[in-house]
Amino acid sequence: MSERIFLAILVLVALVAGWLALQLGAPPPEKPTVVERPEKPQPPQEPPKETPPAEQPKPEKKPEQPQAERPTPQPQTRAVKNPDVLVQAVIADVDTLDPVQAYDTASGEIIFNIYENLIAYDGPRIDRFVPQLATEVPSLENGLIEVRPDGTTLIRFPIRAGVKFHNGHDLTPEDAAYSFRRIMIHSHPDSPAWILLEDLLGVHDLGDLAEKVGDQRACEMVKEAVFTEGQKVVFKLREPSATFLARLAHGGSWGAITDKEFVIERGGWDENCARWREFYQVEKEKLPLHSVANGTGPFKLERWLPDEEIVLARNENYWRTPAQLSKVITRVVPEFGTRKLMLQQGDADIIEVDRQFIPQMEGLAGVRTIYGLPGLSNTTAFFNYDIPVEGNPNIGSGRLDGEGIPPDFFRDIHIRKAFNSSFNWKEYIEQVWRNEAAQARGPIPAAMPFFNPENPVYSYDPKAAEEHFRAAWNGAVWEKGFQFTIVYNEGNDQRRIAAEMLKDNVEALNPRFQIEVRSEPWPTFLDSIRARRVPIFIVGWLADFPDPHNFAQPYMHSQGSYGIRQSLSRIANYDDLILQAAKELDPQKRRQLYYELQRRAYEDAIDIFLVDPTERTWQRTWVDGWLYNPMWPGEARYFYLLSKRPDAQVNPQLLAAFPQAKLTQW
Amino acid sequence: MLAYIARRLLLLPLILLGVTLLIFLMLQLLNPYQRLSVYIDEGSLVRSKPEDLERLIRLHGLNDPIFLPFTVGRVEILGISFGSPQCRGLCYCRCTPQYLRWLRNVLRGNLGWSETDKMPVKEALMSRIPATVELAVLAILPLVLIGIALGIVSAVYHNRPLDHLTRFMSITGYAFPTFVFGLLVLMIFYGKLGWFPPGRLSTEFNEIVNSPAFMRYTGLNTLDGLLNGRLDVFADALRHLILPVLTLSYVSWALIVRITRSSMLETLQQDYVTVARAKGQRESRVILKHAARNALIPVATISGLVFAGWLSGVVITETIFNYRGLGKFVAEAAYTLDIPSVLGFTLFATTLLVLMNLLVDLLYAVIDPRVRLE
Repeated sequence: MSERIFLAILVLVALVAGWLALQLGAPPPEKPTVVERPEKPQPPQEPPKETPPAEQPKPEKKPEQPQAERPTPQPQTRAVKNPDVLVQAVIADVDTLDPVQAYDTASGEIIFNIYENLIAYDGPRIDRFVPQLATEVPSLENGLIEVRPDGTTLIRFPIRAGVKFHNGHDLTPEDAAYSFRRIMIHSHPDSPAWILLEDLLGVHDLGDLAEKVGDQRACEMVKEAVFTEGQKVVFKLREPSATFLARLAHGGSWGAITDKEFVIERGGWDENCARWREFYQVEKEKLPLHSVANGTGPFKLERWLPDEEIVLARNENYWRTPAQLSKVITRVVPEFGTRKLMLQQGDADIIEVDRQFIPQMEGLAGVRTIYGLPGLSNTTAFFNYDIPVEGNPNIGSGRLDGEGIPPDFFRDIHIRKAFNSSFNWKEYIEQVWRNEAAQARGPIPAAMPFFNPENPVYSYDPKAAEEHFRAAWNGAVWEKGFQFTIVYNEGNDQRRIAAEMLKDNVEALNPRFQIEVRSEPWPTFLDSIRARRVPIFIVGWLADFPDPHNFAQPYMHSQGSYGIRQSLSRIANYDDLILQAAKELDPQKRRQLYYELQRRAYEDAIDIFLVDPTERTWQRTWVDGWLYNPMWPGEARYFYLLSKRPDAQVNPQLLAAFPQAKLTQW
Repeated sequence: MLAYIARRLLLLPLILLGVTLLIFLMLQLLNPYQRLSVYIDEGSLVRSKPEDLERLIRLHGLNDPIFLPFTVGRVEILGISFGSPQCRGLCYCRCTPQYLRWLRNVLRGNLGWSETDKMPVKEALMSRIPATVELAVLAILPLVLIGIALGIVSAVYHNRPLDHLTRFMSITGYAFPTFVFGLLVLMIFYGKLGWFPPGRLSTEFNEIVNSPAFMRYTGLNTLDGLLNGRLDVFADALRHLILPVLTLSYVSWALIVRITRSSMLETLQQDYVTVARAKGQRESRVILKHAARNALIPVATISGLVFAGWLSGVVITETIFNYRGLGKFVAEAAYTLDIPSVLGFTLFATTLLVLMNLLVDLLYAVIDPRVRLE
């Protein structure tokens, strides 16, 4: 009898535990607060008072009535936790704090808030600049840009007086010049040095230049490319560049101004040309600023404990009004569930959320999300026009015999158009991106200047796809069929589904068409891409600087990052057009050139341009002043503007700059 | 006994050599580009030119031979390619082989650079060991004490409701995936009740611990809190440890309970236990003094191994509770092929395992006087 009672109790306990688990696992989402449109536009959010005002992000015009629905702010369910400390929980840790090497967004965000540039993007705008450590933005009109008859271009930046580094040293033009020279000397293959080297010296690696002109001369050329002239720092470009200011304005790495004396004290390059090789391509552990920082920015480094947290403290001696937050803590929390609970409990104010977890975030009390923000990245499926056959398991027999594909399979334009017509963008964007992306209209993303919103695009059209397949290779493809493999990097579901959708749609056209989709761990995938063994590879590109050249060059230039990997020169050559567009200073002429490039990318169907994703933020409703610029790295982005208060509002500048953005809060 | 200990310790360098050699041997299966993956992410890959990858490989010496200053040309065995494509037959390399280079640095106290933690491997290990030790020590106490107690109770009340209940609880713990159990308790005790947060300390106490006024004696937050006379720090550290300790010990209870139970059941059938009872000794004395002590030998073995395993890191528990310990470190290092970190960790874990085994062996002699260490 007692056994039976005991078993009954066990079953009961199990049932209660199961019920409890279900309740905890799926809390019913709270409804968003009542949606109302504000009667009047909100006044622009004033950042801390400043001198001069030009450096502050400001709206181009008065905030418009945003199209997005605006819920009424709700009173906080509890008091603001740690009111002057902002905590953000992110997935990835900082790679390095040295601006000469940092090339990832996690490092970029921290560097962006510690260091400053000569010029910066104008608040949420990517097409306008404001002075930061310079006092003026150079232009032809103000005479700070001088184009000489031989094409050599001098760009002068007057340096702001009275600015101090965190260690108390004064900022000088020599500091600015040294910062850029040091990046070029470092010239690490996995660093952003090429972004400066390209315009200033016409190479991607200083070692290449040294091979041609000798070590001593290469170093001298670096010094001649960036030098001081009184209170000014001067850049000498080989030829006019329409992209240079956009390159310099990027915060978070290669534009950062460092303290020359401090770097040399820590064992950095002392500008001795006889010794530059000692500092060329050195590894992180030897970088003088890898784990320390000394900038002029609104925050200074307090501590960095890798894989745990990085803490920035307010710079009380900031040359503008000090920031409102006393500290910003960036915690590395790779597990989504933990990040979500931290936000829910108010232990994190801003967190990073992958798209697949969005449904789990809905209904969290005291949390807001702003979405539909334009991004500067895209994802593309690239065709390989010269696939190696030997030892390549991805193209079967290597011949057009129904058992594989030949190395030049995609050089036939009908094949490329057939694949483009076989992809279902609508379904992909709805199912995979939850409508938080738009079909890419070419290599240049929608938020980029000179993007053509009218550029034609392919759409899912099985009939057109069949016609092109029938016409391809004089009918041999349709008759014999083909087999090949699409490879994606393990764990990337968005790419997996894109590949599977392409496979399903193509295979449905003809039973002789066989596509295998296979994942590879990162080390193997890296090797496959390097060896160009992959017939179609799906990868993305995130803007280095907000200029269409940064997309046209890698996508369409024969020597661009993708162009070279897919042997693009086998089917077309756009090199002259790309270089012409990069040099052109007249915006109208540039527009025409980039429109032409976008049109040709469509006509030649060089790739399957998949999506331009939009961005989204998740934060507590007590976060005030958050502003978005597609080029600002990270989640919390520009800490200077942030504060925490019970009556926090969404930054009106944000709503004015991005009227398409949507806001929901619970 | 001293000779026994010395003999066991002398074996340690040989074991370390063997383990690290094995790891390097396995590296031969990967080409330099694959081994480069730790230094390069996708963003860097798409931005790099082909010659950039070659430069990086040279920079990190990934093309150098592993053991001997010779490179062999490309050969394929069982579908796996070995050797360098740049070499035909046997090529002499005027370089230090990778293993010798690593070994030489280790002997100089340099374990290399950890890409995972962006600092020297030695510093990375030293910064993470205290957290893992704190977690493991606090978790082993409830595991052993409760596990043994439940095992004894279960054996004494063999096939009665208490036995069933104990077995049910321990089996559910064993069957519960750590990930699920950890997330569940985190959702209840942090998400719903807000009692026990993840991480090692709350924001305000983290600031105290990292301030110059707070002395870091051991790196263990609980102990350092006490040594600094900061009971609030101690309490906060403990608050953060409760859930990881619960998760870690609960999912391992089953093992200890079952071993104690079966060992106790066997011991309780022994003649000397019957004799003790026949002599009229109290049942509690019979169980605890005569039976339990002899039943604990296998328990000590398993507990030692479990403890050593925990000290080498508990990946899932550390990940869920965002606890910066060795488990997270080595998991990430292995996934990204961060070889110096993996090797550094291997040295630590192997040493620990050898020492723990030695300790358990010594413990046998303490538990059972019949055991002689020779």
